[in-house]
Amino acid sequence: MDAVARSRLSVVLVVFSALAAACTSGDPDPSPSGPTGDVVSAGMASSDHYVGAPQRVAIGLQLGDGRLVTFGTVDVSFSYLGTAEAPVDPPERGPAAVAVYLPTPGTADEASGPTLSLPSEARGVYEAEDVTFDRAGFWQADVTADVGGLGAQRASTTLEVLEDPAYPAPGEAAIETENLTLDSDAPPEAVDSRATNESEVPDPELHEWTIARALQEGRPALVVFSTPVYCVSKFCGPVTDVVQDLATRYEDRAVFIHVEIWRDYNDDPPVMNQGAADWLLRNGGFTEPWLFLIGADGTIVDRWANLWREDEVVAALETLPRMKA
Amino acid sequence: MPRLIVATLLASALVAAACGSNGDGSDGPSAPPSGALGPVTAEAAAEAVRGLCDLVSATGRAGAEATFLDRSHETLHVIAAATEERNRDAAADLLEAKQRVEADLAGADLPPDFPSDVEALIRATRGALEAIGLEAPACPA
Repeated sequence: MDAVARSRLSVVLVVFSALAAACTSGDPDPSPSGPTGDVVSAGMASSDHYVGAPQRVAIGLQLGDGRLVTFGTVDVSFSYLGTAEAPVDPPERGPAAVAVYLPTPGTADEASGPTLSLPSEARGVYEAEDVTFDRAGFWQADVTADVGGLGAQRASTTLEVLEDPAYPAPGEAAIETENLTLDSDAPPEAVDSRATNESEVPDPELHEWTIARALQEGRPALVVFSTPVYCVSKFCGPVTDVVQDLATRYEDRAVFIHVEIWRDYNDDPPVMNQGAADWLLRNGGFTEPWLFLIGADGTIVDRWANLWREDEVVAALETLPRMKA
Repeated sequence: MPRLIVATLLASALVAAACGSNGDGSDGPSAPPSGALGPVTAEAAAEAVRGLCDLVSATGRAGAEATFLDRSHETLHVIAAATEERNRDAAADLLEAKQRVEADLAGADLPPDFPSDVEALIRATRGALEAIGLEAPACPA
């Protein structure tokens, strides 16, 4: 496997977010900031958006001092910016949505409105559901929020919408991947990167099945693609633990699989596990973590990027019939 | 030159132009090292290390977790992302050491090895910062 760069998409998003967020302190029309003069900035927390299908869009909000906007709901409106070849000016109005706070697993959620929190108090993102984009290209997401202690705030970020999904998407056939398992001839850390520190794979129940075998046997599968150790996002470690917990509670509904991203993170060039590459490596880049629910017929039922609501995944699992042994 | 790098350079130039210059004609400061999660400033890196220095002597799990999450955690991710662009061994050392500390904090109480795990994380952080051309403050004696 050739050297893997970070997803081209995520780098472009960082660049465009910098453009969107740059110089906001000089903007003559900012929303009132709080007594500290802090300005809320927005960043995308979801990826692989595409035309024509309702999907989840997640955005993180934070201040420059590290505090995060948490709890409650925010309003998001999307505007079409055009393409690199054909920019649109002014941006054309698109869909609007209410985004609900989605906490990182194991962190607090409160019924109050948006407020500032230290990362140790709460951390998460805001997720809008059923957002449909009608055109491929770049879109701007404008967030408005009434943040306790700061007042009305506005922040913007940008996202790219593709004509078609880059990754396997709901309604598509799952890829028959021979991912590594505990029976594979591979070092333990290639099966789960936490074996680097713990000398053994910590969650063996997530490494018993290949996706291919689950498909061949007609078993539903919940598959998380993540690298708990070598993740450079904030979301990887906790989400794998969530899937491990679901595996103990719903073992009669589906098989549960963790596919580690890296075969060898340190190698030069670094080596990605083929199973992860099958699903996530596109044009030399990838994003992670991802969660896929595959039905017994081998069709992808749903998918989630970065963070997900456990009750949504549970609801999806509970619609599955109990498996025969 | 790959399209990705061209696009990044162009956008960075646009940001610099849009935000104006120093006004006195001098060159601006050199850009901080950057990766997929954005730039690592010397100030943020120093604060992250100082947070880890304070973490060594933590005795309670909740307080240790707050110190780690509020002062160091996010910046360590940003440092790792910048480091892996230049030195994957140093990035791996940092991420592995960070995960050990996170595992320590996930328990009900801090394990006996916690101080040594934090010290290992400090060493790995210094190694990563050196790889990206930044210095880190020494921990108070």
